[in-house]
Amino acid sequence: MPGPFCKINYTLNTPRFFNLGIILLFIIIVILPILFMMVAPFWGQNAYHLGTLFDERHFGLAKNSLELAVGTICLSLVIGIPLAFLLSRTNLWAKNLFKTLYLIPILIPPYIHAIVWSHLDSWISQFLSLDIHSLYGAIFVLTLAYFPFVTLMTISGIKSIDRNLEEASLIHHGPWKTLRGITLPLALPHILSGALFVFIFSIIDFGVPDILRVNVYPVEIFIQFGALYDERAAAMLSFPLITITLILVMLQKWYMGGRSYVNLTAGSGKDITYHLGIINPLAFTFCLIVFSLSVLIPVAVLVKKAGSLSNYIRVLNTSIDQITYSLILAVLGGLLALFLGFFMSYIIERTKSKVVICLELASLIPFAIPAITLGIGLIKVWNRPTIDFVFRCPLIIILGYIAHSISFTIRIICSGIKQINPHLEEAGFLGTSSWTKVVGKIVMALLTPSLLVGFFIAFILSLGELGTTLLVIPPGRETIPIKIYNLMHYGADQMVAALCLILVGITLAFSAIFLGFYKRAKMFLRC
Amino acid sequence: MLGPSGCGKTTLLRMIAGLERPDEGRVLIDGIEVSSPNKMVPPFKRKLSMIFQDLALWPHMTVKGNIKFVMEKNLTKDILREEIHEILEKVNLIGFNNRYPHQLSGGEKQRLAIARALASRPAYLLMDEPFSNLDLLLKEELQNVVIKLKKDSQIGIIYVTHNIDEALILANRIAIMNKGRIEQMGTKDELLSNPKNEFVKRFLRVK
Repeated sequence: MPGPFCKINYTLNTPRFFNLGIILLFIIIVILPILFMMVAPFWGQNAYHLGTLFDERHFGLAKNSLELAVGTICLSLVIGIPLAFLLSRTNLWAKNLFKTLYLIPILIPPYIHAIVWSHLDSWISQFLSLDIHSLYGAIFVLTLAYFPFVTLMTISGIKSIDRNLEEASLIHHGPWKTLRGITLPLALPHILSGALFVFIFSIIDFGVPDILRVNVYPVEIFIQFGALYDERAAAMLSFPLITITLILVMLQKWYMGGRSYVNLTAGSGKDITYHLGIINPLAFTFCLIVFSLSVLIPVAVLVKKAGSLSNYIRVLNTSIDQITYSLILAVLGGLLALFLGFFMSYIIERTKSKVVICLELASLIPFAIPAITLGIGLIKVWNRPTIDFVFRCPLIIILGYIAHSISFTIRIICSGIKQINPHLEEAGFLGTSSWTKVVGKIVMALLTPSLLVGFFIAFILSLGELGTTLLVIPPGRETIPIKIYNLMHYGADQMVAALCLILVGITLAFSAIFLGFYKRAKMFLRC
Repeated sequence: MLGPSGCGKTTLLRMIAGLERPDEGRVLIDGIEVSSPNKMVPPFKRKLSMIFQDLALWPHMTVKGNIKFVMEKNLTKDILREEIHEILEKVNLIGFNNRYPHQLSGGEKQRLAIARALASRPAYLLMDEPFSNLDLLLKEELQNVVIKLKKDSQIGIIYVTHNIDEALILANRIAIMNKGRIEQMGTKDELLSNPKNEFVKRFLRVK
């Protein structure tokens, strides 16, 4: 649904030098590494030409990558859409419990799903005749990790439908025809956006195909750079991936128009509820199976693999440095992404200029970049004389975290700013000459829930980040995901399982704390 | 149904339509109980149609699509086409078949809402302040459409408004509501000549 307030027709009252500084920071941190990877293959001696992309090897990679992404979309839609309808429009048993739990799979990094299901390889091949170390296995695992995006977006779409539109149909038809004829088509833009997120995340994911040994673009990029030290080949392989995903992101942006991706205020009104009657047990079983496959089984397998309590204590003792290091970096990454994201969003939403349109489009680019590609870009930009101190210290990881999560932060905060009446700021500017006071005490205060969500998403993405960190981490240091990745290759299953559980535990604990703050902020603003 | 804002007119209309369940009391249509705290006949089995305050035109469907969606599904293609034509003619929307709601003017949207409401051949038509946001000229034009509809068809119309003049122009019988209760019901003359209590008197501005 478009935001209720349009862009205001005056120049932003934050100082111009400050805005330019923010834009410059965004370009240096986010755009430059990506630009480098787009240009590198076609630059200098031995430059590649586009024809290389159509040879047999590239064709095979493209086929695998597309099959993986399209397969994951299809399966995610099959699970995500019915789940969204059940959670938002029915009297499903234990609905509130499922509503609280359905997002948990996103909080578990996909490579942990892959680790779990590769442990269950023999069990799966026995009962489902599916080899988990295959393309179909990767589709299955990525679906379990990403289907909540479809559910989240579909629920958001359903909540943004004017209740009267559905009731106008219910006067004439039953719930089924209303769902098919009115609700589903009106929620379609959100459903397609959810599907697109799943497509992009699946096609750029490195961890799952690497663990399940499926040869797709991100894995091949890593091999070219990490094993064969051929950065041009790695950049060349990134090119089709970035092009496809960027085109799709732009199409989605055009298709969604001014609609909010996620309706943060959804749920305040009274919803239409369909009574499931005798199919309630069936619907409940469906939700239980989905929840079991995506949360209960992974956690149970990790608990079993990790063994006794003494193992956790041992892992905690040997990994306390990595845990502290990861938390500090993730908090810093989250805070800096929030700072940059907020001011970028403010510039995008509160000024009318062609430059702003470019900025808005540029803010979508990081969505489409594989973490491995971003890592190579960061190395190439920062590993050079005079500025290589950045490359040799943890700052490079933080820059990676910012670039990795900034698109999400900007989208969420833009969505929040759209809901704030510009007159509230104008009234502030009439009363004080201090822009920091207006931005801090009016805009940021009203945006608190969106800022919390923006920080939380950047923090969670940073805490579980693997692809970029794997390439840029300074020697001798490890984050939790890197330690898990390294231990996995040494075959230390018990420690891997315990560490995965610790990572999931930290993520869930922070999610609970975040939820508490978020609810308090919402209640305060409602008062 | 006439009454001040917040007196419960819309809630009552939604209960009649079956979109809300009453906490107590019953709703009877033609003597048959359709709503009570323990019983709810689904809205689509009540042979009603409703025009919402915001019209609730389906934005993803054309004029024709909006009308077709509520019509009986077992009609043949030819009959369907004929009936759609007839309904569009009634509300003066011929030639607008393939337009989407956002391509219509305010008055055309109102007429489409009326057309859609009639397309399902309802026994009763519920109207929830459909003309409240229109300018005076358009309001008069559409009020005439309703008056003509009342004359030409056998449909019973329940019209909700907070505008006394509108109620006096359109209604055969007026029910005056206050705080969720009907204070008085009768013809225009009955109400004006014999207001039952102080509220009715004040609301109708009877001296």
